[in-house]
Amino acid sequence: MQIIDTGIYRFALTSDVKHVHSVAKSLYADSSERDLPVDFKVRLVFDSLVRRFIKPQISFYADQHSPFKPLPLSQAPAVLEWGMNWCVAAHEYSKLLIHAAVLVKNGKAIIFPALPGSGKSTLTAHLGLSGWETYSDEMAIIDIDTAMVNPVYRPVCLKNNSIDLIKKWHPEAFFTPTCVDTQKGDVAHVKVLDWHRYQNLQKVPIVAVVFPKYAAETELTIYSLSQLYGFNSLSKNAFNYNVLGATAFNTVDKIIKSSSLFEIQYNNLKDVDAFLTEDIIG
Amino acid sequence: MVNVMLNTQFLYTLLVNPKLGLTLSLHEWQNVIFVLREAKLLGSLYHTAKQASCYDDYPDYAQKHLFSAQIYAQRQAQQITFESLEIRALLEQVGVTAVFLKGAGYTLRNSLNGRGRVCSDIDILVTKENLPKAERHLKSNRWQSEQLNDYDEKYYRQWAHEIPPLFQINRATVLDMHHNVYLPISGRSPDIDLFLDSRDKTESGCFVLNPRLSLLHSIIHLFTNEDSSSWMRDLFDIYLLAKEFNDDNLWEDIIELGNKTNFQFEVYCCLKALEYYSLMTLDRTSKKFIEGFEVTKRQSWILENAILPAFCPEHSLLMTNKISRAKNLAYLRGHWIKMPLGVLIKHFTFKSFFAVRDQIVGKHHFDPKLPDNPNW
Amino acid sequence: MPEEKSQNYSLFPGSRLVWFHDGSGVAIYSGYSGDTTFLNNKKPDIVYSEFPISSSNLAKADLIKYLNLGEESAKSVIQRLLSEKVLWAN
Repeated sequence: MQIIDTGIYRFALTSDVKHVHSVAKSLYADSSERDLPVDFKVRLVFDSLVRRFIKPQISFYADQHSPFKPLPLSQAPAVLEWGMNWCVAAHEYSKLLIHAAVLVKNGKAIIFPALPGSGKSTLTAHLGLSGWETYSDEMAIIDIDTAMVNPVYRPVCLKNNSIDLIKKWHPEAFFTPTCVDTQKGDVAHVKVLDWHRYQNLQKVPIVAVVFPKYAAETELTIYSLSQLYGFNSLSKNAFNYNVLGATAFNTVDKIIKSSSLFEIQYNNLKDVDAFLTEDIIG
Repeated sequence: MVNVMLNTQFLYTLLVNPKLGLTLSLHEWQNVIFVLREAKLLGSLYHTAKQASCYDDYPDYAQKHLFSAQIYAQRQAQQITFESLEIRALLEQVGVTAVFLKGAGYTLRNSLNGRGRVCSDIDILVTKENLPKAERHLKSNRWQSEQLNDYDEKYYRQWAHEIPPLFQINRATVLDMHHNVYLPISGRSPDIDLFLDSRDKTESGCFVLNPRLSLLHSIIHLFTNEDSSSWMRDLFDIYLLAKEFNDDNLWEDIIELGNKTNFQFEVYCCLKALEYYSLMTLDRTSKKFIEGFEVTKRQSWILENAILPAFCPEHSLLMTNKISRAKNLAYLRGHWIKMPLGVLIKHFTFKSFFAVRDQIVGKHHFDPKLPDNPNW
Repeated sequence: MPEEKSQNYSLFPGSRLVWFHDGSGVAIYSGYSGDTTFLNNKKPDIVYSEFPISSSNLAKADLIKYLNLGEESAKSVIQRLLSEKVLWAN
């Protein structure tokens, strides 16, 4: 058994795949010294003997149950990260959880809700390795009464071309080995924080919500969004909006009131960095 | 590390006397939380601990998990209330009065056992005459059922006390519509007018069984159910109902109702289980009933070896070979008592009712609708 | 249906309302269904008035006035809010 401490949630991992342990260790070893109870027990197991040898598949278990279908063995480390997201999304109702990346500078947070393919993770990894603090790549964890966002100690999940891009731009960063899969695409994780730096991070207020869209042909274009659009999008991107009910409504309202709202189309992350730093963080 | 003996008895004691939680180490709490999460009792502990004024003294670790479970249950209660009002209004359009059973009934009555409770569907009871009309009207108003194979269709239509589950198209809420509280094929389904006539109108305007009939129904449901995975929670429901509506004749009346409906053995098992898990000290009437009850050797063996141990939540921290065996026996017994042997054998050659059901509806609660594809 | 006859409306208990100060519209949380409904203001020059709907019993004529949409559009918005169980007619 191995402890994975993401700062705010703790997991106990057992895995039939040794490789997953070594990947998890390379990402979380520096955080896992604390003697505290865990919030979730997770397992990666081969469900059937046959599947161990022919087109091997791996199943993720959250304690006694497997919430989703088995996936190819090559994806095991990614399955673990997804499964950990699932545990939090399915059990955490004391905070608002929005499917979004969170980047912080000068104690101010910008959240980036986005669909796959928007380039959100590339943006997060690059900025996270260029002077911003990455509070999350996948999930903005927001206090319901103050609408402050919490840091979580997780790597950024990169896919396909963005793996090589970030490697080229940040050769000094730590990357997990790339999981190669023909169907789902290649996946690798990159570490954007170390535990020491994470421990100094505080909850911060949200000052902007930015919807990024990577468009190869487009130079940085900024659209201001209406509050109604922003409210609607945040509510649709929140994992637990329906369960939190009126509480979520009030928290989203607070975020909208305190934030400027933009959609950006971009093909160059330097421009994005400049816009976010100068025009939003100020 | 772990000092307390984590077992069903301990968990019941904790639920009844939440101050015990103040003595637990963090690592003991961890295991308690995993098991109660599996038993669907985390939200219940939140409420009993709040009532005992010890929740605020629990460690943050325990508080955050109990609190989240309670929020989830609270949202479900709101959804149940909303959905029940919608169902009531729809059925009233065709002159059908529905009585809300089990979880929905507890929530609508706002009884102690509704607080922090989660359930996977809404159960209602209508008369057999009204059933076709009610089904037709629901189906023309955004409720649907899945196409079943001939055997499953026959199971529901000829043998069962309910029709195939209905789903609200937009919200995926599951509705079980019953015309009795137990399968007619068993030859034991009680006179349903006894239940329908004993209804109370709740503040919402929806009808629920009165506390005594509700208690009897919970007893029948638990002790005839072959699936013991929720038994621990279901017995705790019974304990809370009995505690809240206790008066001098409660058990006398329940015993009498058991006799009247021919579910004496189920009432007997219930009292034995409440006593076994120290949830209740039996009053004089109950004691007299237990002592005078003529159990067959087989019944007594079943109680000891199948029923009583099967209350254990299905979590690997607690499961032993003995408990697995008990749960298997309880499963077989649940089927055995349900239908005549010939039908039963035929039934087992097909998929079991619950396997069919899970295949159709999945094991989801109403919320949250999380993707089955993790690649969000 | 009773709502056709009625001239007074309320939000369900537990409902919340937010006016967007950029004039983009209104978000309403229904205390009944738990759903959030949006009234999208398509005419940016016209801002919905902040109507005191939290006080139950709002007259239909006032609601139409507050919505500031013209009578026909306002009526269809009210109809939508009734069907989505945001408003109830008393």
